[in-house]
Amino acid sequence: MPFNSYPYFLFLGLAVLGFRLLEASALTGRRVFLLLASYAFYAWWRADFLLLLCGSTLVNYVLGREIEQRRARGKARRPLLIAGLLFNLGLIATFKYDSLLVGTANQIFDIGLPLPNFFLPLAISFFTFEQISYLLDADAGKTHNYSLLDYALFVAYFPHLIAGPIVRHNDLIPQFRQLRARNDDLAAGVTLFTIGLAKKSLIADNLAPFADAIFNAAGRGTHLGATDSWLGMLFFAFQIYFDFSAYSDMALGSSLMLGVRLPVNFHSPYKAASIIEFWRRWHISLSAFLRDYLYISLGGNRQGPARRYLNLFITMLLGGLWHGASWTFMLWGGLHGLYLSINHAFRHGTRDMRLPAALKLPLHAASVALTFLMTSLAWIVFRAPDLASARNVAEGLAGMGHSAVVSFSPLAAVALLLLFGMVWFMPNSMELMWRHNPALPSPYENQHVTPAPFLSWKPTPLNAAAYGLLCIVAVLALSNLKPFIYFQF
Amino acid sequence: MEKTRYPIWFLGTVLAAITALAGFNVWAEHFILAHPVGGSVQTLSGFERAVKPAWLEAVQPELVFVGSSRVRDAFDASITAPPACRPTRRAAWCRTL
Repeated sequence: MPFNSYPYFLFLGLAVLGFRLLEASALTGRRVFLLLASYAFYAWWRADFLLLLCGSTLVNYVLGREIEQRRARGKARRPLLIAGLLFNLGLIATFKYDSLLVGTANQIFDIGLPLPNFFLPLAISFFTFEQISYLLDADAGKTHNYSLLDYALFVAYFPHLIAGPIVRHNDLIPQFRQLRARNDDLAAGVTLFTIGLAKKSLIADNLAPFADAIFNAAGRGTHLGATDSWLGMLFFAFQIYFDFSAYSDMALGSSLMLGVRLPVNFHSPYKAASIIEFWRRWHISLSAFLRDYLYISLGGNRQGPARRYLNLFITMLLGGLWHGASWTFMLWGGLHGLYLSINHAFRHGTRDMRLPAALKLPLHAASVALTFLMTSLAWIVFRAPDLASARNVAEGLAGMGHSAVVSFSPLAAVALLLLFGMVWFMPNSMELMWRHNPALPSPYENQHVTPAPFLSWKPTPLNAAAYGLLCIVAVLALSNLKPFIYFQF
Repeated sequence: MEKTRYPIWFLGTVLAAITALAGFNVWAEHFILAHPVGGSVQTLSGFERAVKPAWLEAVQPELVFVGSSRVRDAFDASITAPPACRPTRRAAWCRTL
């Protein structure tokens, strides 16, 4: 049930209505209702995999509670933690990386193993990571005697279940213990959901055919010309930006209608002036997870600069692999690991440099443009179906091909100018909604939401009518339905 | 203040817009099918009506399907829904397709 579909609109409406009708009932009743609604949401896709979700939840809960109790009694808990990590990683390896592992083994050792053909369970990457963080936090003494109902709802809560944000137990469970439907949350949630829907159906889905045409041509072996390659790269850079931004807004808006705030996950990443800043703005919950549970566990920056850069590279490589069982995703992660290492080294080398005030703005603008260019180049391997196609597009950028899949019309130029204007100069949805504070704050200390200088949202009748009309326009554009890019992970 | 009324204004606007669109469609259908000079249904895009004849003239193909939109649809596995057709006394076009 994608967020941008009529069944989801109906489901969400019924969930909000049911939740508000239960306002007078006990808190447990509302939590049970949300859990059942979340399981129904997941089962809509494939009911049999609901067993996998429930089984994984139960095993992790039992292990987490046991680790917690052993910690309190001062008993050994390391074997249980390792068993839990192996269980989760084994689950994701079986369902997600089986073909990659067996295929690679066949290529290297020429052993001819049959390729497994497991169906990838929806959202497995997300709920597995969330439960790994729970086990590690239980081991560190950061969990607080949760009930099975609280824990199951934390894992399955439908607004974040399919494609994030990757939530932590302490983000959600305290909120579940004081669930309350508020009218101002409903108003802000409906508005945020509408903004996301408009980004998806009016912008991202209209960019997709152009990006698809160019990357599909690359996949067929067409030697792309410079115009095709540059337009393909730029259109996909904007498509994935608006697609993921839309998804994040719709997830946060859906949850806010139920009175629960999810962590901010997307904060104008193309305004970043460095790759370090980019990862504090793009998929914030994933980068914070990788930082807290992988980079720091590998040693972080505690063992000298060389080891720090290696840790960064490994972290981003695995972050890339998290997106999918493909060499293209791994290369994408590796590229970002390399970018981050260079960025940290450059920052370290220039830390004592003082710039004249007159140069600050031009240098900032150049840094933003360079960051955008480097992330867009990396998107090529992310989007390309295989490495040969990615190479084809990259060679096209240098003018080595000759195709003309699309032409650079004045309309394309205007569209690109508008898109650059939106991502660089417009306030984002968190800034528009700052008065209501619709999300949990970013885990990065220096990434605060600044109030929008214009178009700031207030719950007035005029705004309600304006966003109502935007909602209708966005819904009418749904005939060109495309799933969210991040739903495949 | 307006926080309570905001969802009502929002949903009211959505419902009003849906009603206006549905009303326009009903009126347009009635206008098209019951026009005094005879009912007509335009299901073909501008390409089929204006560009395709000139294109066929230029290409000079050996075989042309007359009424090609229907024939094309018959061979297109992705198009499964039959054309909208609601036989009425006034809309004789539907029975003759």
